[in-house]
Amino acid sequence: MSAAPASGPAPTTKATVADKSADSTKETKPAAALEEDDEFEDFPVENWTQEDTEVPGDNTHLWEESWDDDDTSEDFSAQLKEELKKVEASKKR
Amino acid sequence: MAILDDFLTSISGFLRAKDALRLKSWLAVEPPVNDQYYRLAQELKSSFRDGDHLERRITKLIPENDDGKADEGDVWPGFLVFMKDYLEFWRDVNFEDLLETHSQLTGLVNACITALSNSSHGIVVLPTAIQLSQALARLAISLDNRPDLTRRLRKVTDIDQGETRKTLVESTAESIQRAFTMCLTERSANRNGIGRDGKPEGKKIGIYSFANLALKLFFKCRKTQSANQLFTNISQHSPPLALYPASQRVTYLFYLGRFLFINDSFYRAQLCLQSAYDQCHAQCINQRRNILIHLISANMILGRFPSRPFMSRPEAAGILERFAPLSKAIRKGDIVAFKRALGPESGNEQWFFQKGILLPLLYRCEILVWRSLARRVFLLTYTWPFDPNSRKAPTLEITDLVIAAQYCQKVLEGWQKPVDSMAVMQSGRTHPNALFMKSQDLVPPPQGPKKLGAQGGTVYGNKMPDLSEIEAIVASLVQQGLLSGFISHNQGKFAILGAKIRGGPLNAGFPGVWEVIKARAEREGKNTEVPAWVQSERKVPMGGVVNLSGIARPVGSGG
Repeated sequence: MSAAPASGPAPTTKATVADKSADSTKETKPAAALEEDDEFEDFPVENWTQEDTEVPGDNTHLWEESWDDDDTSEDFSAQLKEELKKVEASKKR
Repeated sequence: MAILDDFLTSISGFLRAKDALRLKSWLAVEPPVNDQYYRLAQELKSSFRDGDHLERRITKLIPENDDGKADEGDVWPGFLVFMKDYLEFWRDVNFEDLLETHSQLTGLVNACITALSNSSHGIVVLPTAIQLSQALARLAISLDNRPDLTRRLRKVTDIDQGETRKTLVESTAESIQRAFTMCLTERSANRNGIGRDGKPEGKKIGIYSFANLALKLFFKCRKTQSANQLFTNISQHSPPLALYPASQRVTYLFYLGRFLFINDSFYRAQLCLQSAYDQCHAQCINQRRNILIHLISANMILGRFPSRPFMSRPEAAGILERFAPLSKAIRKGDIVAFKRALGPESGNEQWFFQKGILLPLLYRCEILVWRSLARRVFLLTYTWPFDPNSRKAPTLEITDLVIAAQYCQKVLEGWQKPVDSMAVMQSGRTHPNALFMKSQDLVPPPQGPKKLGAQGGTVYGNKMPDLSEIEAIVASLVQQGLLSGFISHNQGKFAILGAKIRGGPLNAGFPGVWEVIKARAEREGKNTEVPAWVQSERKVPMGGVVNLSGIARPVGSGG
């Protein structure tokens, strides 16, 4: 799709991209450009088989379902513990 | 004039031979094309400025097939109109002027869709209609990314249509949706729309090509509610999605998943996105990445975090890092870390926002953080070990959770441990919760607490959470099944039920989030059926009366 000459009739979509970089100093926002790059592209092929979808490695445990963290020695727990103790102590006084 | 005549003669031949694919490849509109098209354009410019003259030439060289055999194709009036528009497009087009090109291409696509509507011959232009629609959609999206070009258009249409004006992308989507509806509602010989070869019959083969283009444009212009009608129609009339090529299935499930996500149907969104991800070609990193971003978001909201296998996948590069602080905060119940993971200080806020997942994550994951915080406070305050023979239910003092929440609120507001105790005295500030302040280490910043937005605080902005609010949150957790037990309002306690039989108070009182949500989805039947994801063919009783009242009606005509 990019074989067209730079001058004369240019591909419609590519022309836009090329123009964009040319006048990027003007009004095009970087945020918009970023978003554009990340858009869901059209697939280069129409159809494929199950084998083409397979990726190496473990495919069965993609999601962690039990993630509770029982470690109470880390910072956040220590701070909470201190806080609870202090308030407890102030109540008793 | 040799080029035009040769061109038309060939087109006529393709019609007779019903060669839809060669017709498509000859009726190109999008550069790069071979030089013949530019020479054709030159010839049209020099000799066919007059439309009537052109029309006569077309009619002459694409004649009706009077003595044709039964299996031969033929020309029809709608096709002649389309051919004239097609040649005029090449005669008049100036690819330097994208806005004008869009307008001409829109006219051409509409003529092609009208040609497609012919019930006996229209199908031969189906691949052409798809090709033209793809070109038009691409152009509309390019233009949408160029506000400097469309501003002119906006000014013109503002005057013409006032408030009701539509964006260029939106009106393009509507043109394409017309073709979609035509394919979807075509009456077919077999009632379920599936031919003898097991493939979608007739124009139904084009359903998802057009649907995906329209969806892409609806998402582009953020008019996702316009997709509602499209999905409803697919649910009613489409053959199973599985009969379509992989690229169409994956694209469609991606947009359906995102639509469900936007509409808070996270469980079903997850089913669609997971299927899209699983069926996506392993080499298509851009698409896998886009799917994965939404798939991870939906799963986080449902209480599942991406795990190790993703780390080696190229599409996950740069994504996992953004979600990691979020899952870490949820695990710990650290409200401060949670807000920061989605706030400007994370450096990811803009990214989450642009992907359309910032607010869903902020609103929907918060309850998971509260669950973990309640669990953590229980861990810290319960007098371990658990005695399975005790008759007393393990309890969590709600006031302890209030203390934890207030601590988080203070940190969010910028409270710090004072450097010098005199400085505290001089600050002259008294806190409303004077009781809690007696031996309190944290003090508000001298310039006053940091101003927090509504979502920036633990409950609401700078509101210091109190007992009634925290009790309400605990009640909500109980109601959602994320805490298992009951609240004693009088005693200010949450009591855990079934600790003996369910392996201790932690397991019993704080069931796994995904486990709870999955069980609920299964109870509600959300795991088996997703609206607009047609999994099995529609069953129509053989030989019975078929009600066609819902078929062949335009979108939006009710019913």
